Amino acid sequence: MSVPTTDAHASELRALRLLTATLAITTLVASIGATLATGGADAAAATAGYRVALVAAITAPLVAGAVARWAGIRMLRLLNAAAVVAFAALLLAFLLLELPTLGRPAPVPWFLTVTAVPVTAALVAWGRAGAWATLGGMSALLQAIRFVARSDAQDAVANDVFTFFAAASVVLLVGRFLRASRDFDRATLAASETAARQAEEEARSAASERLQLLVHDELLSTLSLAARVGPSLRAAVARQATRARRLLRELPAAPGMPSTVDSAAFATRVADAVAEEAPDTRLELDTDARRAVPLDAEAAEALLGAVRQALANSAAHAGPGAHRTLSLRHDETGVRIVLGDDGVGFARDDVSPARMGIAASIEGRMRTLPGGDAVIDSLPGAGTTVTLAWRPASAGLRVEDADTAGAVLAGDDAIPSTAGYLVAVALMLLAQLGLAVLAAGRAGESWQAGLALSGIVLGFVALGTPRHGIPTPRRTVLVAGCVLATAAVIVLPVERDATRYGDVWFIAALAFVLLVLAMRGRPRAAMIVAAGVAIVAVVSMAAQRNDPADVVAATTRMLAIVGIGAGFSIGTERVRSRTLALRHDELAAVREASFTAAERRELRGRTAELERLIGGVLERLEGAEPLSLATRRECAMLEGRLRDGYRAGRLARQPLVDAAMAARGRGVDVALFDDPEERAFSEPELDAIATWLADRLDEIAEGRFTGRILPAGRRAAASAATDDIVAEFPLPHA
Amino acid sequence: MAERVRVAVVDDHELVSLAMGELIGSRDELEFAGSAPSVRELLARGIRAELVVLDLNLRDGSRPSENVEALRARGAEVVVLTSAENPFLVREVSRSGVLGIVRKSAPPREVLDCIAAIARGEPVPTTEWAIAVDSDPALRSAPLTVREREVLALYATGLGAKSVARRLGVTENTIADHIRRIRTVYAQLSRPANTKVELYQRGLEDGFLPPPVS
Repeated sequence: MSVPTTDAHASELRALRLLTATLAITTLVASIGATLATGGADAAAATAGYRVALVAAITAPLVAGAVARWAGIRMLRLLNAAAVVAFAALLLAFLLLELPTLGRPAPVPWFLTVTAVPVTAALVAWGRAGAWATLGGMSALLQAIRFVARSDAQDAVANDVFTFFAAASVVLLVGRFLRASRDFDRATLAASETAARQAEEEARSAASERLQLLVHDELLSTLSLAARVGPSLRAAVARQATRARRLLRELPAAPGMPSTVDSAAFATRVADAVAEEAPDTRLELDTDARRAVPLDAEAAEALLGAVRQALANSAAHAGPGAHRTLSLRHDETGVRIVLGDDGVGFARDDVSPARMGIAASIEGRMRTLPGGDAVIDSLPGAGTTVTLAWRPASAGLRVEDADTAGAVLAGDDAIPSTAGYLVAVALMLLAQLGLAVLAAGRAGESWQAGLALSGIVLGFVALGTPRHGIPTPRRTVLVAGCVLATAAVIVLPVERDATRYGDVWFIAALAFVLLVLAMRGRPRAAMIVAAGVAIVAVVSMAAQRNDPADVVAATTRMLAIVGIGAGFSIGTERVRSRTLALRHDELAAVREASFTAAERRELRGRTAELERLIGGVLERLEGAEPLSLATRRECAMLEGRLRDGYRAGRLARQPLVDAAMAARGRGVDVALFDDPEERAFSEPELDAIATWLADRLDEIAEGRFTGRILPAGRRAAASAATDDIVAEFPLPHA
Repeated sequence: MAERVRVAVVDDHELVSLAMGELIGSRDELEFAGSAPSVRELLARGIRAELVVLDLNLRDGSRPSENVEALRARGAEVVVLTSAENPFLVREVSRSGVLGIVRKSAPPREVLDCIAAIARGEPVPTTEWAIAVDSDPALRSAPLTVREREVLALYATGLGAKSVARRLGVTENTIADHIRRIRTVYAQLSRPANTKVELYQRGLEDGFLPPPVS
C-alpha cells in the first residue's frame, strides 16, 4: 500500500528560491554600485561583444530571481547554471574582446570581481563542489585579466582578497544552509512515513477496540440472554437484536480519528478545573504549542478527571492555610502535571479508606490509560505531591525526528563549528593584515592601518564564537561600537594616496564582522550599523581627501555583503518557521488520512466477518417467532466463541475452537482463560495444549468445563476441569 | 417467614435488567427492587436495596471500583456481573469488597444461586474471581499460606467448592474460611498494614474485628 507523504523537497525548494531571489537583488545592487563607482564608464567604453556579455551576465540572475517563486528545483538549477555561464562568458569577453582595445594599465571593471554572484549561483546549480570549482575558476580568470591588464598590485589585492572571502563565506554559510534544508526534508519525509505507519497501526488497533467494544457491550449480552431467557422476554430480545445489528452495520460507516485536544485548549481546561475545585491554587503553565504532542481526547479526559480529583482532595484535606501549586508542562514528550501542597499530608497506610480510595482512584485512572502514570507522595506534616504524566506511545520517535529537523533548520548547523569558524576568521584577519601592511607601507603612516586592523580584531573578539549563540544586546552594542569606531578611522587626518582604492580597505573588511553578526541572528542590528558605517564613510569624503569613487565602491561592497547576510538570516528564520508550521499541518493531515483509510478498511473487513458469523442468528432474533432450542444453542455457541476472543487469548486456536463450539452445542458451559500475565510458550507447545484441551472437551457430555493456561511458576502448563475432576497438562520439556 | 432481601440491578441493557429481574423474582427469599442503567441513576431514583447486581463495565464512564464504593457507602452489598472483561477490572472490584463476581453467560441457576448465597451474606468464590486473583502477579508476594494458595489454585482451575474440599480432605466450612482470608489478604494488597495498630485498623475496616465499644 502506498503511504501518503509530505512533499519530499519542500524546504530545499524554499531555500533555493530564497537564494535565487537574494542573488538577483545582489546583482542589482552590485551593478548599480558599479555604475555609481565608475560613472557608467565601464559600459561606455565597451566593445559590442563585451556589452552583450555584460547585459547577459546582469540579466541572467535577474531573470532567475524574477521567476524563482514559480520555478521548480530543476528549473532553478538550470537558471542558475545559466547565470554562472553568463558570468564566465563576461570574464572571457573582457579578457579576449575588451582588453586588447584598452591601454595599460587597463582598468578592470569592478563588477567583474564580484565573484560571490556566480559562486552562489553555482551552489544552487551544482552544489558545494560546483561552487568551489567556480570560485577557483573565476579567481583564476580574474587573475589572468589582472595579469594581462597589468593592474595596480595593491588595488587588485585589496579588491580580490575581499571578493574571495566574500565568495568563500557564501559557499560555507549558504552550503550549510542548503544541506540543512535537505536534511530537514529527509527528516520530514521519514517523520511523515513514520506518522502514516503509526496512524495505520493505531487505526487497526482502534478499529479492533471499537469492534471489541461493540461485541462486548452489545453482542455478548444479546446472545447470552437470548440463549436462556423465557418467552416473556421475547420482545426484549428482538429489540436488543435490532439494536446490536444496527450498531454493527453503522460501525464501518462512521470511522473517526480519535479527536485531539491542542495544548492551549488543554491548558484552559486545566485552569478551569483549578478555578472550580481549588481557586487559591497557584498555576504555572509551560506549554509550547509548536512542539507539544497532540493529546488524544481520551488521555485529556483521564488527565482532567485525575486533576480534578487531586485538586478536590487537596482542597478538602490539606488543611486551612495550605499553599497549593499546580504546574502543567505540555511539550514534545507528553504532558506532566504536578500538584503540590504544603498541607498536613498523610501516611499512605494510615488514612481513612475513603481518602485512600481517592488516591487509588487517581492512580488507577491514570495507570489504565495507555502511556499514563500517577505517583502520589505524601508524608504527615510534609504536604502532598501528586504527579500525573502521560506520554504518547510513539513519543520517542516523533520527538527525535522533530529535534533533528528542527535543529538543523534552526541554524545550529548553519553556523560553522567553532574550530572551522576560528580558522576562517584567522585567515581573513591574516589577509587583512597583508592589506594593512601594504597600505601602511605606501602611505607611510602605519598607525592608521594598525588602528583599523585592531578595530576589526576587536569586533571579532566582541562577537565571540558560534557557541555563544545569538549575541546578547550588550554584545551587539559592543560589536557595533567596535565597527563604528573602526569606520571612524577614515575621517582621521592622515596622509593618503587619494587615487588608490586600497586606502579604505577596512571599510569593506568591516562587512565581515557585520556579516557574522547578521548570520548569528542579529540581521537588523547589522544593517543599522552598516548604514552608520556608510554615513561615516560619506562624511569622510568631505572631511578628508578620500577618492569618492573608492569610498563609494568600498561602502557599496560592505552594504552588499551585510545586506546578503541580513537578508539571508531573516529569510532563514522565515523558511524555518514556515516549514515547521507546514510540517506540523502536513503530518497531521498525513496521520488523519492514513488513520481514516486504515480504520475504514479494517472495520469493513472485520464487521463483514462478524456479520457472516452471527448475522443469520441476529436476523432470527429480530423476528417475532418463538426461539427454537436449536437457535438458543446456536446463540450459546456463538456467545462462547466471541467471549473466547477476549479471555481465551492464545487458546483461541484449532482444534480447540471447533471442540468448544461442538461442546457448547451439546449444552456444556465452556470457559477458556489465558490471562495476559503471559507465560511464554512456543507455537508447537500452544498447539499441543489446545489439542489436549480439545480432547478433554470432547469427552464431556454436559455441565461445566474450564480450560486455562496456568500462571508462571506452576508445575503444569494448563488445566482442564469439570465440576468434579481436574486434569493438568504437564509442562512441555524445554 | 424471614424478611425478603431486596435486590436491585444496575445494567445499561434493558434485556439484562429484565432477565435478572425475572430471575430474582423467581426466588422466594429475594425481592426485585428495580433497575437502573447506572449507579448514579439508581441512587437518584431512590431505589433501596440490600444487594445490588452490578454490571462490571458500564458505559457511562464510571469506574467499577467507584461504583462499588458508592453502593457500599449506601449500605448495599454488591455482586458483579461480567461478560468477558479483562482481568484488571475483575481484580479492581475484587479489591473493593464485592461479595461475588459472576459471569452473565453462566447457567441461570448458577447466577441465581450466587445471588441468593450473597443475599444470605456468604461470599461466593466463583471461578471468574479465583482466576483473576490467582493470576495477579501482585499475589506472589502476598502473605498467604501454602494451603491458602492451594485452595485458590484449585478454585481457579474451575472446580466447585465441594470438589475442592474433597480433594484437600477438609470440610466446605474450612474452605470457606480459607477463601475469606484470601479475600482479606487480597484486599490488603493496596492497603499495607505494617504495624499492629494498622493491622487492627484493617481488621476493623474489613469487619473481622468488632468495633471498639465506647
